[in-house]
Amino acid sequence: METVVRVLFVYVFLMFALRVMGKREFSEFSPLELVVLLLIPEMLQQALVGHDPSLTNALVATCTLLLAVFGTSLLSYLRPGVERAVESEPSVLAHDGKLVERNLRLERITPDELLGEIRQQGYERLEDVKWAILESSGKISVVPTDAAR
Amino acid sequence: MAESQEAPQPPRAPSLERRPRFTPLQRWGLPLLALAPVLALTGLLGVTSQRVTATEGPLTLEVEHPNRARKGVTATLTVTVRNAGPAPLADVVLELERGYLESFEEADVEPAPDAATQDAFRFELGELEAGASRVVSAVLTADRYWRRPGTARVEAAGVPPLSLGFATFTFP
Repeated sequence: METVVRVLFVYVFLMFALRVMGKREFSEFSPLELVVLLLIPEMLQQALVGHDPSLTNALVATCTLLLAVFGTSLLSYLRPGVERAVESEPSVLAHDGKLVERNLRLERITPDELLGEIRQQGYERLEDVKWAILESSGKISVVPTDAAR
Repeated sequence: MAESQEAPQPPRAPSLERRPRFTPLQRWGLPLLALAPVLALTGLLGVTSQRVTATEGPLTLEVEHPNRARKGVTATLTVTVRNAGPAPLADVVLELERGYLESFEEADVEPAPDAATQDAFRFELGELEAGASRVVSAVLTADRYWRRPGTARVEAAGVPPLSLGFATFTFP
């Protein structure tokens, strides 16, 4: 019983923590982010399974986590409110060749970074961009203007 | 750079009634996955102890044994021999089944047995005053799973021997 409660607690905590960090943080790892992500499981391992190395405990913990993930996905699908709480909404970073500064600041993305992403997708200038959107997944989608196509 | 107050929005996705569907695999697989946490929540997969008692005249034998254990997790076996009669009991000897204790990877027995026969570890408890009791305990760590039965047997001068069977089921 304790394992089920531990796993659910850690799952909810991690979901909240990752949501607070923002979608950008975990899409492409900087060395610092990678260290954090590698350290989290090390620190949580004992908290999750306690001092019980048995296969039974591991099975209970894994099933609990998988069901929590499935349950969250199902609830997000059924309830838009849950979806908004669990997944962040896409942010428009640039529109019709202009930066949307408020969103760039909120997502901590510099114009240089955005332009780098735009170039990676084969466009040269900000003016070539109709939409640059930071998706919920953390990836930046770039839709070119008709002229740039 | 002019900061926009109202961020422009890209075209919205068309709406769709949110009605989930499940594959046949999910329909039977999800309840199956839920089985382990449900059993754990009801305590059926937990480490539990059970107490069994037998009495013969003034002699009482009580065994508190791990009923359900888990591989690699310690559990405690406690055997109590009590003289509930008005007179002292002489030559009290407790025997614990050797096969049971040796089926565990580790068995820390306190006090250490005084002798070992082919089938049992013997604990010479000596004289037991009226109302007195002696305890033998073992901290057990299982490395194999499944059921292991055990027996505790006690005898004293002038009292018929008393024995108790018990078992521990170890989950993998």
